[in-house]
Amino acid sequence: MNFSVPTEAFIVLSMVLFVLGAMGVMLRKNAIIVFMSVEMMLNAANLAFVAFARQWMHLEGQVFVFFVMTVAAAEVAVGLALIVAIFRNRNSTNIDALHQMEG
Amino acid sequence: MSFELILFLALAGLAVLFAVGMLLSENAVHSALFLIGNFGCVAVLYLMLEAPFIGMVQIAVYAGAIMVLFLFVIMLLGAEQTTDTTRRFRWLTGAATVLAASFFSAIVAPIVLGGVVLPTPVQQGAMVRFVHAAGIPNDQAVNLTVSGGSLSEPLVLSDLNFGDVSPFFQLEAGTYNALVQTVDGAPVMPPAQFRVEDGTTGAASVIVFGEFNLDRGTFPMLSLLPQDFTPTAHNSARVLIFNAFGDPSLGLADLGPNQVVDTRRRSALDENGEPVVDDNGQPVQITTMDDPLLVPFTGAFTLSQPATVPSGTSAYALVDEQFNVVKPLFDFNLAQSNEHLIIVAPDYLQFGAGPGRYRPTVLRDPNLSIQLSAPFGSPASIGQVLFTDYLLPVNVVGMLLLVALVGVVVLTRPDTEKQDRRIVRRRKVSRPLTSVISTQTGGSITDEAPKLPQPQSND
Repeated sequence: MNFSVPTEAFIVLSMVLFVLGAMGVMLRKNAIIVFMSVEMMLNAANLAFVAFARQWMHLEGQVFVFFVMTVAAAEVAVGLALIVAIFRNRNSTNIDALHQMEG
Repeated sequence: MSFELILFLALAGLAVLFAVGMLLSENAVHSALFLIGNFGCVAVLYLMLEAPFIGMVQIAVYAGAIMVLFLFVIMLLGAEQTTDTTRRFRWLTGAATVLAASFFSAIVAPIVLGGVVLPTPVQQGAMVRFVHAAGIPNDQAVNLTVSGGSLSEPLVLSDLNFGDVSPFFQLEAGTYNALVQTVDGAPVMPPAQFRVEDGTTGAASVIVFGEFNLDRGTFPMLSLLPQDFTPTAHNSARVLIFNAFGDPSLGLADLGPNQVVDTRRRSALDENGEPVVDDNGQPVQITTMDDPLLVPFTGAFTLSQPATVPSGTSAYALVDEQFNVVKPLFDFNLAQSNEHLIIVAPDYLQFGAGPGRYRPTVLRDPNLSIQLSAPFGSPASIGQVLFTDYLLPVNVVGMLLLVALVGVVVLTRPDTEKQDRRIVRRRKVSRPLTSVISTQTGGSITDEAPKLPQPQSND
């Protein structure tokens, strides 16, 4: 099967987006930005899923993307509620300020 | 460089730019807007990847719901300014960059250097069914014995009547021998072979056809008709004709409501639009058909090209090249998203004594029309998979969303315990006040005062 855009190109793009998201998680201090970076990593994984689903002509890849999106929606709702609760207590969304649990 | 590749490069560059913008933006609202742009680019890439449903869900769920939630929280908290002012963990920047770069190169380097070869899927073997469409005197049933190839023991289909269609069998690639006998064991045709190949055959009907006529020395034959069963567009059906009767060539016409072939005689025109004249200078007259010819004329013992036609019930007819109706198919239903294999076969008829004769008939086995699956990546196909193979995960994910909803309500609930404590403290403060007021006013209020517990400190 010959695709006009090879699957490898989509995988490389997916990796670029994933690594950018991972750097966002590691380098940014704002909890909301960190959360957005996590969403971008999930999205990059979804892109790889869909690319492989086309490569193998298997629908399971797209079905898993559907599940990942559902879980991401639930995760965002809970995560943002946590951020709101923390902000109410500490008046900040800086994750470096949250170190009550350090040993 | 194809249009799709240019589109991909443009969208990929845009997506990476949006991602970098999200990372570097000092304003959280700008970050969220950059991320929406990134998600939009990825949604278009999903469309290119034959995943239209996922693309639309990406727009609705990610760009719509999730990012609106993000913007709402950013504006609710007033946390737009995200300048990282802390001086701690400065060493993390270098470490994270090194980690990310090594992870990226570890996965991308083999792809770019060509070390990863993604194999293309090859369908193993084929789904094969057997059709008895041979004209045998007295309509005798036959036994079909298939051996060879990868079959460890012969596949025997017994008592196939004229027009019967067997279920599909999964056969590996290879050459198979077929032996057709009457139920009495008398051979009907010489041993025949058919070949199944990986990837090219897919699904096929092996058909026994032709006339068994000792006087004319004709015997049935065996042939493999490949069918692809790929999805068709909505409101259309795919039709193939196999002309197992012989001459004449047959085509499928849609006669319309009047149920007759509408023909018209007119002058023949050459490719320049000029009338064609014969040797005597007279214009040549040809007959054309006004009714649409759905499947082009198919010669003897050949399979037509698959034709995609509008679905529905109509008066169809198999016509020959002079537009005479060979076999009417009134009230024939070409169901939508089905692939119909119309087999015209010789049916043995006997009137009284003497040898019978053959007339064309269309096999009416319902298995000859197969419901095609929905197009790859369409909402219908994904829904089909979700609600059959993945019904339990769908329910679990639904429960998860419900739990998340309850969790959000619990997390964002006002802290009621703290409020209770505040009320108790206020009452403690107010008790000395009542005692002060009662001592100042005296009288009846001091009579009620002993009901309250006396304050600890009265100064």
